[in-house]
Amino acid sequence: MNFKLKHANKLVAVFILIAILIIIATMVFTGDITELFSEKYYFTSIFKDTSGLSPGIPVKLIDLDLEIGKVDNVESNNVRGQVKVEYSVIRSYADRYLKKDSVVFYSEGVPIVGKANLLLTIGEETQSLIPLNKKNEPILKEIYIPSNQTREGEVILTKTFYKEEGEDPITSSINNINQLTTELASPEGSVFQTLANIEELTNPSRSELLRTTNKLISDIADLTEKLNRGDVRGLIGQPVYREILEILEEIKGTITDVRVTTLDIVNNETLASLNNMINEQNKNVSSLINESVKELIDRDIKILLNEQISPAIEEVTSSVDEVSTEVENLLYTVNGFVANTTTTLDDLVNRTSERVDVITEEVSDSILDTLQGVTGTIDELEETLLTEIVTLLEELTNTLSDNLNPAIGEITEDVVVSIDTITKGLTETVYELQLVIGEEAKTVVKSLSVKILNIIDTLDKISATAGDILEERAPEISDAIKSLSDTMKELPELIDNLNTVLNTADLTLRRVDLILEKLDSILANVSGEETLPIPGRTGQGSQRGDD
Amino acid sequence: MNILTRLYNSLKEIIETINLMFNAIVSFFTRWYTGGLIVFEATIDQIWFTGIKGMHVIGMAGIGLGLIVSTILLSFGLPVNIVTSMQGQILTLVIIRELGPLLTALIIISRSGTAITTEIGNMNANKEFDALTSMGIDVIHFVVSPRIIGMVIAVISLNIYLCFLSVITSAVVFNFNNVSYNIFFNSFFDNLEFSSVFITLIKAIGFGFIISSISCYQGYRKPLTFTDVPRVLTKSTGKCIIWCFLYYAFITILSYL
Repeated sequence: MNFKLKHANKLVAVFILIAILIIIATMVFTGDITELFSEKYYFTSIFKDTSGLSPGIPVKLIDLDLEIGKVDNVESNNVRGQVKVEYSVIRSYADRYLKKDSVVFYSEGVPIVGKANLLLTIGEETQSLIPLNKKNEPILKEIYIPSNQTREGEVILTKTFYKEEGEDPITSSINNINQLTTELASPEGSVFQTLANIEELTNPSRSELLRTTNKLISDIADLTEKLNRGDVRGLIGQPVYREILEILEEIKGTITDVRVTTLDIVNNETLASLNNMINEQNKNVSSLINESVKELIDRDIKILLNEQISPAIEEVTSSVDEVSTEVENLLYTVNGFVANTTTTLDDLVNRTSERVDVITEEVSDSILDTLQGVTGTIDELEETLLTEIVTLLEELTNTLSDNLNPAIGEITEDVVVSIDTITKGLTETVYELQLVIGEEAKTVVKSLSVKILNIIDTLDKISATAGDILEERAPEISDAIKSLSDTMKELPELIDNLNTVLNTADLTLRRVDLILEKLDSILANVSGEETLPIPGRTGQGSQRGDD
Repeated sequence: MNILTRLYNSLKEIIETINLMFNAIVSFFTRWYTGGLIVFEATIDQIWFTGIKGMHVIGMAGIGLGLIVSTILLSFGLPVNIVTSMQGQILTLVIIRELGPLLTALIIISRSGTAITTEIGNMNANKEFDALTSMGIDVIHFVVSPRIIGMVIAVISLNIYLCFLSVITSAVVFNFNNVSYNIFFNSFFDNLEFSSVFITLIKAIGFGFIISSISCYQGYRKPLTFTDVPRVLTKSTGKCIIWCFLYYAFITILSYL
């Protein structure tokens, strides 16, 4: 019995030892024993399609097929059916392989044969994914790694994988769209240059007009004040005549400037180049999208559907968003420019911003609908892509042109309003002149005022038709300008008539002066008294003599 | 005897069995200095009897289980020369996690559980416990503790051996069907998870405690005559099987939640 027990002791020890060794060997072969005692990092990723993804699924490095961790938890993120996946990776592997541009894939594995995995890409960047503090400990408890089912992941993958293979048609199209939008939004781009040109054309002439008008008004006010004082004889002389001539010359010059400016605005290359540019952008974008969609259809649709179309459409969506944002910025710039001339454009810009927001939402909704449509049949994909994307981009470009054209129309209106103000000032001036000069002058000035009223009518027509400038363009505007120029041709004749009237008035006043002198002498002879000075008349003769 | 009385008796039996088990475990680990060598030798003796003496049965069961499972898996007619993911998973789940521990428990019940009940029942019938108690010897410490601890260690070890032999047998069977050992073990370890190993060990430990406690309690709980021993033996075996299945179901459900 004693022998047996001693022998049994050894056998039992071997029996238990072998069992323990089997367990340890199993742990080592499964790799779990190393995980058990290794320091780990914890990561999270967001997935959309996770059928079959469950805790315990191994996490591997995609290039090395090396198991480096396990999925710990899979839970709903409550956002658009997104799923948050939490997984742990052994620290040594994470430090060595996971970089800033690492992306995680979910592989369901080959049916029956394969096993589901989370696959991590080895980053190319030098910067580690895990931020460490001074004690070399991770700062964050959970680190986010973008999955290939998110936009960030797609961007990283596109950068990584297409770097060597060259750009695919979708990326090329997106790049072109980006280039176009960048050009549109660039301060040195054609749109901003055009706007700057418009500003250059309008602002100096407007300030010149205002300055001239102010001077004119102040001169006329001065003249009126003198006339009101009754200083008719002193005023209606050579200086007044020259002053009036100068004023009329200035009026003539101002009206000519206005005409030239208006013609520049309407007929010069500004509007034409803006429209051409918008049309060109529209054609470019449409042709690019059409070409891209054709290439998509020519290629294997299923592969494109799975690998490229969905991310590409999201890319297009984002590009459209960027375009919208840039268009919004552009409109705000236009707002800033127009705000210098009139406050009414503020409302326009607000309305435009709201409109762009609405359109952006519509564009986003429509593209989401398109994405849903993509999951349908391949035929639906063709139709949806061709119609939806082209329609959306056309709508976008139409919105751009719709918003810019009224802005330019408003600018034109503003110029016309300025002309209107000047002509009104002219009318008032002439009216006052009419009052001053007398009955003979009244007739001439009346005809002048009638002509100027015609100018006002013509300008009213221009302002009335300004809203339709972009539709009817040059013909109507040129007619109006032609009418204006015809009127202008008659102005010198009117000025000659006015000169004649003024000469007549001068002669009349001289005669009156002579009569008054004779009357003075007669009165002196009759009364034998000294001639009493007539208020407002004494010294006038000397003044005239000085003149 | 009405249902309530039966229920009361059953509940009482359960509580007394658990009480006996805890007393034995506490006694084993806290009073090791009291007759330590005797208790140790009794434990080794129990492991020898249950484990090593039962190896041939367990070995045959393991080989049989491996043969059955692998043959069933191969009969699916899936791709040649590889072990599919599904086959690997079934292999690990059926052998390691589910059937291995259960089969071990059934073999131990039929072989060692009955032996323990018979031995302790006969000692009880011979009034040996009265004699030992009258001499101041703690029966639980010297008789029950070594059996429970020895049985638990033996069941864990036998479960490991059974699973090991099943897997090896499966590998051989797959190899006969042109699947290399390398491919087989790669697939097996790819699909084997730590949780599976942990659960099979938890099941084995539970089975060891359940079988040994019930077997000891049924032979020890009240004075018996020699004619009572077979009756108690039958009752003990039945209870061991029932409680083992209940525990098995509980752990399985818990592990899949």
